Amino acid sequence: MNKEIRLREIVEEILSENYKTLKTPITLQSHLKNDIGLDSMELAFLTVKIEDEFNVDIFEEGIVFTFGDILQRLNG
Amino acid sequence: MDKFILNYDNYFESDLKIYEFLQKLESIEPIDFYTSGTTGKPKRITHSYESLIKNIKIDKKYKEHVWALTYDPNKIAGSQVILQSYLNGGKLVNLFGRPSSEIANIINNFGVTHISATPTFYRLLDYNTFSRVSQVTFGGETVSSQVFKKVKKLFPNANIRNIYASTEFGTLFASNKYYFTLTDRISSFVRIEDNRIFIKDRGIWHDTEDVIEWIDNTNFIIVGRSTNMINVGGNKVNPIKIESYINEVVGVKNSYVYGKENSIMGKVVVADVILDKSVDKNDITKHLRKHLTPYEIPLKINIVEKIELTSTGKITRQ
Repeated sequence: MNKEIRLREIVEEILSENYKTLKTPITLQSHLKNDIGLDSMELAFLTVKIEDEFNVDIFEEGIVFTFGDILQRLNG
Repeated sequence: MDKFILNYDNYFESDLKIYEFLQKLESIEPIDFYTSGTTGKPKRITHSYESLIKNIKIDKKYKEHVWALTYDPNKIAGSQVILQSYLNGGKLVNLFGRPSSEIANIINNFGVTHISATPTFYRLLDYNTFSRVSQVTFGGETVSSQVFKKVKKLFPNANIRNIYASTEFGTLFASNKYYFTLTDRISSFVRIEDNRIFIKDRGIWHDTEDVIEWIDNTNFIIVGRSTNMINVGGNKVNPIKIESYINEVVGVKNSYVYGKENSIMGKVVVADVILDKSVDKNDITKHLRKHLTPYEIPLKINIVEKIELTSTGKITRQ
């Protein structure tokens, strides 16, 4: 499956598990905290899920801020 | 000796260990014991004959008691059970090392009346009614109210003793509930500061590193060891508490909760779970969300075949 599509699914799963909804659609520029609304615990959960599925520690090279940043790390 | 150990088996290693221990005792030389090493390396503690027998109660009426040994005969807890029975002319049923599928039958077939074991032992014991057991003792690990309730069902006619003890200091205090009470009597040698238990031994206060939670002004439960706490983004999380909730889910046999490195939080909670029937991981998480804060929820649940127990029957923790 396309990495971007799967990543969107994961983010939406995390939001719905925490009873949150998206205020605006996710774009590559969407800021994880300010636009998508993920708090630290949810970000931590995101890193665990991504590591499990893609075997990549997205924070290894430093802080990630946007959805596009994550995709970049996933694409290597 | 086959008169002392009711289920004695010539070829059973731990039955032989019991003999060796009693022989060492006859020589009245000091005996070395090793702590379980639940955290860190096992420590060697030497006990003299006098210190080994000082907590043993002797009385004519104890001769009829049949004690089940669930602990390693080479460890302090094991030595106390063996001595309590032997020095009173009673009988012993050795469960240590016996396959778990046989244990319930052995308890009933050999007429066990007294058992001392860790909460993990009772939690893993199959449901049954052990009506002839008149005394059940817990020790060595945190007793959750769930395990306490199970024990009351398994042993409907038994007196329950929850003991707080250590290899270094022996039995310190006890209760017949899943919690303990800080009475005036024990306040002379027990102090609780910062939710940690301190013990006074020979004039010096020692930090036991055991962590408690007050349930009211004088009653507390032991929630675990401070070294086992997981620091999730600055929040101290108790793995034992999480395990006790996971273990409530129908189909879960046992669980082990630990911390995993995470770039955002430092550590996050992960759980290894053994099932005895098919369970959806999401059902486990749903149950946990009803009782725990977000920091305490395992971010990953692994279904595993086994969880390591230490030589004293406690869950091995890093």
